[in-house]
Amino acid sequence: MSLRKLRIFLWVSVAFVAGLSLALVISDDVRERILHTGGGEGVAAIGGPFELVDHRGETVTHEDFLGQPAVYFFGFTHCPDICPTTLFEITSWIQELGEEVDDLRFAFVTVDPERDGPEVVAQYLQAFDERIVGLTGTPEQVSAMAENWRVYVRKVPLEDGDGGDYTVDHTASVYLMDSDGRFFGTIAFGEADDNALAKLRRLAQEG
Amino acid sequence: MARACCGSGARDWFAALTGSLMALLIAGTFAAVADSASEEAIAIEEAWARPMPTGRELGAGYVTLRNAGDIADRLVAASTPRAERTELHETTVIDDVMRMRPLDGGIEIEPGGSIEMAPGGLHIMFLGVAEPFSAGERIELRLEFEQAGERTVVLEVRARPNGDSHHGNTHGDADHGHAHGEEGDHAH
Repeated sequence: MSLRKLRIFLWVSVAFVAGLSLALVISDDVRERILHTGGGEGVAAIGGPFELVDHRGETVTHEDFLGQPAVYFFGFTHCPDICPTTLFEITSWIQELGEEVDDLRFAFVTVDPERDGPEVVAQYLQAFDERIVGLTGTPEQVSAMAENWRVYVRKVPLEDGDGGDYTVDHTASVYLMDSDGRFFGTIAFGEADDNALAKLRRLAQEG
Repeated sequence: MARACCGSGARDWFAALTGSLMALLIAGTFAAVADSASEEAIAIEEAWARPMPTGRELGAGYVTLRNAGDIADRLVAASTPRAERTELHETTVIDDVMRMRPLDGGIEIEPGGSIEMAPGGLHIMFLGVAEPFSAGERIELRLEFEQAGERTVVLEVRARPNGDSHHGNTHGDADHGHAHGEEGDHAH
């Protein structure tokens, strides 16, 4: 009796695995959902769904960013060097390109949601172009996005910092996403202004 | 006679006093010259800091240090009345990952060499800033060197550095022991 049950269970398992394999082979949709391969279009699988909170405290998802190409930068407000540098650069690119980037959207995503709540992010962004939207959320929401977007995030304690002070190692590039939310390219930290401007123009025209 | 006697005694005293004074003066002059020589060995240029977003009590400043002297010097500390704490830091961007670490041992400037602090490289970090720096302000900064002693400079507060070559720093490919090839799941 118990042997018969085991046999049935094993056959059901075999059928399940076989069905799943078949689905993976024949269906792009299933493949994309399970393996995140991006449907074999030759575009790296960077990006994807997210649910976060903007600097006004309202819930936003990736769907709110569809329909227009978008520029994302990941950083944190306790970062003295790279983050303000990049945000000032983005600000100057926006000013330089003027109407050319009217259709682009710009977002600053914090990788330090514990310290960067919506109010902190809102206050921080006052120093930069007003078109840059701030995104934060629960630590789980932010790390889910970081994972999908292949953004490296690592909290590192500062030894002589008082009271558990820490810094956050993180990906330095600016992400360019097309109007379908697909990965379009990056602007590396320290890339020459001319290159950055050319990439943003291309994103505005083709993304 | 008595006059001559007394007069000569006074002259001796006077000579001794003058001699000592002159010796003191000469010694003092030499000391001053020596002092200014080691001070002049370090030139401080391009001193600027970033405006801080409202509500931020931290930020970064940058200077270029040139050592015209014959011996190595080391920037060991910095301070400003505007910040509770000031630290020397280095940011690195390796494989597209930004890392920031304090430089506890200070920053060495080789004889004839220079240190160019810049975003994405060496910087002076200000913590506990009650009044955030705003563009156009001038911030007094004291730098402490092992050899040149204490120097004061003024940081100009501006959003972006002067000129175009503002990334990275040339510190003679120094050996700050960057952790190359660390694991990490990140985009390129």
